[in-house]
Amino acid sequence: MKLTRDDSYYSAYLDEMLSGPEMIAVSQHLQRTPEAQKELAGLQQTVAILRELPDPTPPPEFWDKTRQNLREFARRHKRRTSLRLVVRRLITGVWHNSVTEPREPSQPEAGPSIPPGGP
Amino acid sequence: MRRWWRSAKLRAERDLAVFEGLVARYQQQMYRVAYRLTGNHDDAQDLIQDALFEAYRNFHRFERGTRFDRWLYRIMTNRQIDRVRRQSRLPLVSWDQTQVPPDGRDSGWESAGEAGNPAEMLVESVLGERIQQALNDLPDEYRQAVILADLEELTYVEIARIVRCPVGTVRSRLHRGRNMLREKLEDLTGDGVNR
Repeated sequence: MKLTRDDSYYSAYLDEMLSGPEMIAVSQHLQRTPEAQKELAGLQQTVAILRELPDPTPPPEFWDKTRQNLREFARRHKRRTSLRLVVRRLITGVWHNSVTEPREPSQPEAGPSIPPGGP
Repeated sequence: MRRWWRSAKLRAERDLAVFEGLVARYQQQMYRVAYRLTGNHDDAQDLIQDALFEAYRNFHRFERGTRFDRWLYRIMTNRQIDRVRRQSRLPLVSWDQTQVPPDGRDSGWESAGEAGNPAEMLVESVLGERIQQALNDLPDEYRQAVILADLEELTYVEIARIVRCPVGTVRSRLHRGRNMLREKLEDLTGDGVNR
């Protein structure tokens, strides 16, 4: 397996995200290439610096405020969704009624033309 | 109808309680990712709020057997991409502006009121801003990969699912991002790159 300077094998090697044969190839490459060792060490230090970064802290009231905003949003969302569902139900109901329940006839009907039960 | 309305109300309250519980569990990670993605507190807070609203609206689509924090990261990265596209530029801060002002005040909330040696805090804060600036200078795709891999310690497969690209692309973005950071921060890592 040939490794080039621009490929991403070093990072993946660092993260142990390579297959077994790839790990072996990178490891052998590192043993005979001081430049690659240097690059790997630099990447390792960069990752270490990033992991050392302190967690940013929001102002103390941030999460309380966010929770309040979320509850307000949820209330509005629920109202909208419920209204939409009610409207849909009403429309479906009206449609359902208009299809399944015939309007009250002005004159009494003589009865079904086809007798129930069949022959 | 009244019974149906009441049960819908109860269901919504229960969903909100569950959602809030999950958010509380992951809020620190959320803030870290949002801050590192956006580069400042104001945008991080806006991003979190936008992402939470979207997550709540789509909570019924959250898949069983998957992780809530990963789902939130996906929403956050998507929202951030949208925001950057809308603004059509990232907030660029010059190196001079990242230095602590002459009156010694620090713009970061996290330093205010914290116990510790003021000189050490100052050094940490300046270093932190320097590293954040180097992150801000990365192309968006590289920054996302670096943040998710190196700060959140996600696997390549998890990152690929979040940013919706092949694992090989994640690997390449991560490597390029790290290399760019290495070059920018070489005086901190003691690494002589390309010299």
